Order: sequence, then structure tokens, then C-alpha cells
Amino acid sequence: MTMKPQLPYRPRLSEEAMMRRHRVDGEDKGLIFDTRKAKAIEITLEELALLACADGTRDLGGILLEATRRGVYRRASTLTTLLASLQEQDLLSDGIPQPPRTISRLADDVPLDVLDDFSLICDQNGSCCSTYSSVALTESDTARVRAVIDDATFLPLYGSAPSHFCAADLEDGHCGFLADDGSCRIHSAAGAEAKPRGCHLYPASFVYDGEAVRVAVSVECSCVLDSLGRRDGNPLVPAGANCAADLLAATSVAHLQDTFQLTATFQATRDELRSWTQAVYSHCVTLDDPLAASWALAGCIETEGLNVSACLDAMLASVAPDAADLSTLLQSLATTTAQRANSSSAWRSAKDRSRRLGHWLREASQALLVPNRVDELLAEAAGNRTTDRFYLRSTIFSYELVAPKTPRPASTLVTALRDRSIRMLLAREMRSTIPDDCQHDPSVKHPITAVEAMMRGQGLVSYAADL
Amino acid sequence: MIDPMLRSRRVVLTNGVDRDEIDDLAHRVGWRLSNVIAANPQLPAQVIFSTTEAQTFIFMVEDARLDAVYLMAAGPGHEEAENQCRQLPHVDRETLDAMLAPTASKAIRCRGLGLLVLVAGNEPRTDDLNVITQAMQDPDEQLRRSALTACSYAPWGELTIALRQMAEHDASGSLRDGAQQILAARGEG
Repeated sequence: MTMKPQLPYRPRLSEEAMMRRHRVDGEDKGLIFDTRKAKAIEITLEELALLACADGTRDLGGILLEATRRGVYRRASTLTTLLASLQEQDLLSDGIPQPPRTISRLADDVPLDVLDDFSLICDQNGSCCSTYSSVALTESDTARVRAVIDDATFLPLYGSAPSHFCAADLEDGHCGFLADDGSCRIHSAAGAEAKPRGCHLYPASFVYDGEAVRVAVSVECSCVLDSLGRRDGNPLVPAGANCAADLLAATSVAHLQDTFQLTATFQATRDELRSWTQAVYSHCVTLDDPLAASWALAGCIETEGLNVSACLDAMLASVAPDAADLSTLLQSLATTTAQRANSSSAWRSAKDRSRRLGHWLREASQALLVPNRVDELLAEAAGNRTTDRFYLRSTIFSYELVAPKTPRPASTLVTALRDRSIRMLLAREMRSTIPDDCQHDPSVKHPITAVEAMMRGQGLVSYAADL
Repeated sequence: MIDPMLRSRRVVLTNGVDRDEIDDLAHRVGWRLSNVIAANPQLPAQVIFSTTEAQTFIFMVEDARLDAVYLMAAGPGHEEAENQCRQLPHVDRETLDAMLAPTASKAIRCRGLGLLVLVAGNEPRTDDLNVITQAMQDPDEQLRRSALTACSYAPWGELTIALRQMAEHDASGSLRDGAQQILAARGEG
């Protein structure tokens, strides 16, 4: 009857895993997402409640006592069996987590560097509330929400130890606070100001690069691309804002790390990357084919590093890549999207948008493996590439290539650029593979937004992480 | 401090009763997990439940020395709790008799000696005393050692003579020392 000795002394779910409460077709489920393997593990609500007690401060007996206090203790073996299973999958850690790296507060006078010529017109269709595996809230967000919504419950954003960021429960893939009529329950109960800060700011991104805070936009929602060329939308920062002090309170600003892997062997500094992105991103508006340009940039960096003039030459003179060069990435993409779609089908509701988008991506990825299909897409007449140009421009400007927001990004800048070419190719293919009965989805018009949302929000970017 | 008079007899569980069955019983009768104590050099591992009114406690003890798991209740509701414990498969007199029969294997007899003192508690029968004292004089050292271990759990005055004999005359030096230590612990050394 002695508990298994190989378990950590004070076990907790590691930060590579996310536990979520998810209502699927009316039934509450517990889920653990392994972010390294992009895999979902179903658990019972009882197991979820027990795991929430395993916060790294308690030994097994302490976990059981806490579970008793919370009214969720039933059998000790439920806990030990669950922990043993998680241990086998390398999803447990021991003791309290290391405190997050202390990031010095930004000086008030740090200037803002805002993506130019963009304002957002939100289409209010709630797709941003229906696509992600996590709706993140800060501690102050959760306090505000609890004050107005009685049944609000939250779990740590990562792992099982308490953290500054929490996650809302989900229902059929959408935020648990999204009402049936498409409205936000928090907004309805207490006004827009009560909403989580991340919801207010979406889809803007904020990255401090040592000189300025770059404010850009993630191309993960169709309203972003529908807003192009419009001047009547909401600016990414409050009118008149020009330094950090002008940002909305509690704006989450990611800090760019000091060095990056350009390739497996070459690194660059933050300053070098800042200069490079500054020089390159503005030229994206003139590109004939952003897909080819992104691929060409990767090739140039492999040989020249962040040599700006060489990169600009390569980008502006780019020609479509050879289909054979894409095959490794495409194969990996097809495998990853198929695994994810199959996993989603096993437990997600048919109403779940991310399940639907996952299936789109799988179908398109498979289609790209058909002989000659990639050649056909690469040879397509340039046509209207406005959205691809904006996509590449925003991606480079926002530092998303080095992914300060993504848990498991591509391992090098070169791979990240090639990954972006693959994403654009995938979006081209999706135009012909999205089923007719999905034409109501906002991403039909701009498939790249579905690709982007799924890559980051559902962890599909892991397809490129090990390449 | 719980009045020593308000303690139940030990209910020794039969082999194969697992923690799930104990948890299920606790759930069924309304015990609440109250504490968990890991084994240490001084104490065996214990899981402690309490009854709803939190005045009676039920101890589940995993005794590695005797290879036994037993339940024991303490508090004003100890009699009812003991009866509840007895809903689980437990070692009864009939089982013990079979374990301690001369025809049983040595390993089973050795284990039976330990279980005997747990089951008999403070009310040994004459037969129980005979079984222990005979084992303390058995030619087989392993049986004598098991009997001595059992003695360390049995505060029975009737064993003093047998312990003294063992302390003075046993062929094994370690058993002589062990018997002497038990006598000293009883204040009879």
C-alpha cells in the first residue's frame, strides 16, 4: 500500500503542460495538453481536481489532505495512478517552480514603435474567443471576473503551481465566458473595462527590443486583414500614445532575449536583429511574392548572416523555391496536422472551431503532398498578394520569427522564415480545400489567419521545431 | 489526548485488502481523511481518518516489521468504528489458528506470531501465551526471532519468565540481547 517511490517528493504538473476544464457537448472534461508533443490527454474531473492540489508544495499525503479539504478526495490510488502516468510522460516536476525571470519594469519614456498604416476594425464575430486552447487572464483579471460572475473558475495557465497567469474554462473550444448569442458575459455583466486585459489588446503584440516597444498585430484573425487599407478603425495604441507610460495599464510587454540562433551554429544579438528587421520589413510592401521572399531570406541568412544589403538583394530578387526543398517541412507538417486533427476528433465537439480549422489544415497539408501540387501553387500568377505582403511585414516587424509569445517556436530564424513560406503555401492550398459547408467561417476569406491562429494557439508550430 | 480506555482492538486486515477498499469503506461510512504520516525509524506509516464529529479517529497502520496492515479506532465512537473496520476482510481467530498450526509452513507460522499479538491486544488467551512461549523455545532460530519480535508488541506480564529465560539461555547472542532490551523497556531488566 506504500505510495510509489519513484514519484517526485512534492509533485506538480510541469510548465510544459496545461490543464484545462473543457465542456464538450454539455459534458465537463479534464484535459492536459502536452505542449512539447502537441498532444491532449483526457482526464476525469476528479483527477483534474486532485492535480490542482499537486502544486509542488505538498507531498503525496499533503495532496490527499488538501483534496479532502476541497471535498475531492475519494481514493488515494486515483492520485498515485494519475501521477505515475504523468511521470511516465515526463510531465511532472518536483517542488515549487523557479520564480519567473525578473524583468525590470520598462522605463516610462521607452518609445513606442508602432506598425504604421494600420488600424483595426473588429468584426465582432467572436472568432478570437473560439480558436485558442487558452484564454489567459492575469490575477487582477480573475479578481475582476470573480466579482461579477459567480461560477467563474480558473486554472494556472501552465502547470499546476499557482502563477500570475490563469486560464479560463472552455466550452466546445470557445472561451467559457462567450455567451450563446456571441456576446462576452464579462462585458455584459460589468462593461468593457472588466474584460481581461489580453482580450482588450488582442490582436496587438508588444515587444521590447532594448530600444523601443514594437507594437504590431498578429495576423490570426480575419478582421486584421479586412482592416487593411481602412483608416477608420481603432489604432493599436491609444491616440497620442508615444511611450511606454501611455500604454494601457497591465499591458503585457514581452522582452526580446539577448541572443538568437540564426542557424544551428550561428547566433545574432538583439541589436543585430532589431537593425535587420527595421531594414527588411519596410521592403515587404513591394514584394512580388512574399512566400518566395521569405524562403530567399532564409537561404541568404544561412550564408551571409544578418547582412542587410545581401538580404535585401535576395528578398527583392527572389524566385519561387524548388518544390523538392520544401518536402521535409511539408512532410512534417502533414504528419503533425494529421495527428492533431485525429486527436481533436477524439474528444472535441463537432461545434468546436479549432477542430474545424485543424481539419482544414490537415486536408490542405495532405493535398500539398500530391505530386506537382506544390509546383502548381508556386507557379501561380502573382495576383493580389496584399495580404501576404502585410503578413510577412507584420511578422518580421513584430519579432514573431523569434516568437517571444510561442511556447515552442522554430529553433532558428532560418527555420522560422521557411516555416512562414510553408504557412503561406498552406493558406494558398486551403482556398481550394476548405469544405463548402464551412463557408460561413470568417477565415474562409483569409485562410492565412486560420493557419496563424492554429500554429500559435494550438501549438502546430511544433512541426518545425525540431527541423 | 484520547483516553486509553476509549481504544478499540486492532483489526488486522487479510492479505490482499488494498488501500482502495479502505478508502471505499471510509467514503461509505463517512470517515474523512485527517492526516497522513510517512514511515520513519520510530513510527510505521499511518493514515488517519476521523469520523464526522471529529472526535473518533481511525488509524490505518502499515507495520512493515510484522508485515501487517491493521486498523484501530480511538475516541468515544471507537466501538462503532471498530465494527465498521470489521466490514473489511480481516484476520480472525480461525485464520490465526490455521496460520499457527504445527503443520503450517515456517514462514506462515512466523507471520502468524506477529498477527497473533496484534489481534489479541490486551486480552491474550492462555492458548495465545502458550503459542508464543513455545515458539520462544523452538529449536528453529527464525521462529524464536519472530516470537521475540511479537513479544515487543505484547505488554503481557505472563511473558516475563519466558523473556528472562531467552535473555539468559538462548543460543543466539542477538536474541539474548533482544530479549534483554525488551525486558529493560518493560522496566524488568
